[in-house]
Amino acid sequence: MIHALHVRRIDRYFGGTLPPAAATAMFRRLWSCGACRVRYERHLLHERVLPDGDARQQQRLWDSIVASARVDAHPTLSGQPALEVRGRSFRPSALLGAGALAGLLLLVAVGAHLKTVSGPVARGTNVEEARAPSVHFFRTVGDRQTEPVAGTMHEDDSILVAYSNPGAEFSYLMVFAVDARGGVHWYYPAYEQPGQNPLAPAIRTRALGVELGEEIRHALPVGPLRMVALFLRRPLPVEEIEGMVSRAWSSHGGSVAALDTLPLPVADGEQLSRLLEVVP
Amino acid sequence: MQATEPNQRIGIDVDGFHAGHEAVIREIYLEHGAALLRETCRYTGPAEAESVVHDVFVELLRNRALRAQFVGGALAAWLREIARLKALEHLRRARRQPPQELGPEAHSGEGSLEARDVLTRFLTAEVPEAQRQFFGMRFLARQTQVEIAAQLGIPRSTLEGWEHRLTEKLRAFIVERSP
Repeated sequence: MIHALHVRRIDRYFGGTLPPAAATAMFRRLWSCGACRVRYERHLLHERVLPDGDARQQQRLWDSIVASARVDAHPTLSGQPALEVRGRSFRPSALLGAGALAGLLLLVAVGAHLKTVSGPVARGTNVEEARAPSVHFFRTVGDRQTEPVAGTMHEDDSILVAYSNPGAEFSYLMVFAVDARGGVHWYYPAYEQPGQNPLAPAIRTRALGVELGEEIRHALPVGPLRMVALFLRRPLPVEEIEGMVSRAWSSHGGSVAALDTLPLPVADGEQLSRLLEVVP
Repeated sequence: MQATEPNQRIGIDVDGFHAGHEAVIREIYLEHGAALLRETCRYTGPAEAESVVHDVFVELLRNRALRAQFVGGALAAWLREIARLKALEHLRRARRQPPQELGPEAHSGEGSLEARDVLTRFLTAEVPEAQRQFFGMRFLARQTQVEIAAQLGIPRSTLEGWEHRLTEKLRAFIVERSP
């Protein structure tokens, strides 16, 4: 399912209909997805066999470069260039705006649902001064809309994640969900094949409302689901985190509702979690 | 040695480059982009090479500090080094091993062979009989539509329509149906 989204994104890129922010994410995806590379290279071959193929390729790549540079140069709420803005498969610019705005709003609105070092952000607090990181979840509604995830989500919802990292102490982020049976579903980084064991990707510091770009859909079982975000000082591998989840799961009696923290050394990161209900 | 570098030949506008003028950076892209793609293919595949070149020029457009690091001299070598570092960084992040030994720089001749092979298979399998001569002249011999229209006595607008439909069929043949 997710692979189909990536393939569609590559097709749209070569068709000239992929938004620039999504192109950045598509290029990054090429490094970790062999099937995506094959698809991309078939498009390259098609381009090359055309009578004007060389010129097409040259122009396509330049257009993409310029568009990406313009998107990435848009200042974020933190006033810094959007170094890590990643695209998604539809309406990235609208979502970027929504994500950034939601980043501001949800720091307060969602604060009560998240465990943070600094505690809840007081009403009226300047968010630039509130240095605790936060994470925000959006679900797709229809073809072109998103909305913040409240207390429930559907089992087939595509989820888009955005984060705010106003401080400078955390440089890496992992986002995953633990279902009612203790199963771990990875949102960030992608973990699609056993044995890959990817590391936590780098994120921006001193930035608010940064979307992670790719909408992700997992086949989630109906029931309680705990979404967990780990802001880290060093990149940990997913298998290490899954080991922590397993140990925490056992020590908390196999209850996702009770599993609010992992046995993670405090110096290594900050844990945020939120309990949701997955409904049919 | 430096006098043979392409940037010396074309004499880039260093001030414009440092200022981040899009037109100047586009000139550099047109001059060096293809060579940079071929060079990067020594470390990665062609898809990732495009990702690297994309990154390099996005960075050049956005990053004043990076542009300031170029103080004249061998621009091509400077670009190659940026591309090499980006390629290695991507490989590291993807937990992929960089090649132990660099392959020879890819030559367009290899790509041409592959392209000719797929065009020949497409011609045999998919091109209507009435359009085969046109296809051979346009896609294999790379003649212009004007030349072909004159030789075959077929209106150019007709050839335009044929080419458009053949291009779409070719896309499906290569992208959707290739094994």
